[in-house]
Amino acid sequence: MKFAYFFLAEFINMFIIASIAVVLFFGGWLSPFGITESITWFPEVFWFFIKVLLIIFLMMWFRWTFPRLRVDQLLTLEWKYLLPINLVNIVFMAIIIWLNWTL
Amino acid sequence: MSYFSDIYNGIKTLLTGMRVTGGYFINARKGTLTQQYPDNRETLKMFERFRGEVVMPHDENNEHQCTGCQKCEIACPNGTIEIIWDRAIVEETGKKKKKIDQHIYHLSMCTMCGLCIEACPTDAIVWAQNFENSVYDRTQLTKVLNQPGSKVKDGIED
Repeated sequence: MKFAYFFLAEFINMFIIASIAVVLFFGGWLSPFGITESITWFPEVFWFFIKVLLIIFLMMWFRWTFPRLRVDQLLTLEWKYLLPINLVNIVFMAIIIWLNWTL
Repeated sequence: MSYFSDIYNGIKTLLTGMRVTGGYFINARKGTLTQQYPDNRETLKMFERFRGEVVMPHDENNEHQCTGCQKCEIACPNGTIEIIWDRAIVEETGKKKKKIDQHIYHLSMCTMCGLCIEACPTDAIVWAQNFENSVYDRTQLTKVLNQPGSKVKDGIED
C-alpha cells in the first residue's frame, strides 16, 4: 500500500501535466473544430477529459516504448535540441508581434 | 553540424519504436508474444540479435576465418578470450604468417557484451542462438572455438 501511494502520486502528476497541456495548447474544454458548438446541452467537460486521456495515453505509450531513457540522453535532448528551438521560437514570436502579424 | 539530421533521425526512430509497441497494443492476442518454452523446445527459434555464446563458424572444408590478430582478446574487458597462436610458413611466399593454435573462450566469465564480435575484422566469431548452457562441471565451460585440424580460409587478411 505504501508503494501504491507513490504510484498514485505519479499518475496524479501525469493527469496534472496533461490537464495543463490541454488547457494551454489544445483548446481545453472546447470541442475540436467546433463540432459540438451548436449543441448547447453538450457537456464541455467531456472534451476536456477526452483530450486529457489522449495525452496520458501518449505518455504511457512512450513510456512503454522507451522504458529506460538515460539521464544523459534526456539532458542532451533538452539542452542541445529543445533549448535552441525554444530560443528561435522566442525570436520568431517577437518578430511576429513586432510586425503585427495575425492569423 | 548534424543538428537537423539528428532531429530528423530522432523523430524517425521515435516513431518507429512507437509503431512497434502500438502494433503490439492493437494486436496483442493471447499467445502472440509468450513462448511456451519447455514445450516448444523443438520449434523454438531465437531471434537474430539474441546473444547466446560466442562461436566460430567453420565451413564444410573445416576452415574458419580467424587470422589470429588477437583484436577480440584485446577488446574483451574481462579476459574471457585467450588465443594461443603460432607462426607458420606459407608455401607460396615463403614468409611466416600468424595462425591460431587454440581460440579459448571461457563461457563462465563471459558477460555477453559483444565487444569481441564488434572488434573482429574478419567476422570469424559470431553469436550463437543457443541458451541452454548449464553443465555439471565448470571445466566444460572453457571452450576451444576452432575445431581440431581446422585452418584459416584462403584469402582472409585482417
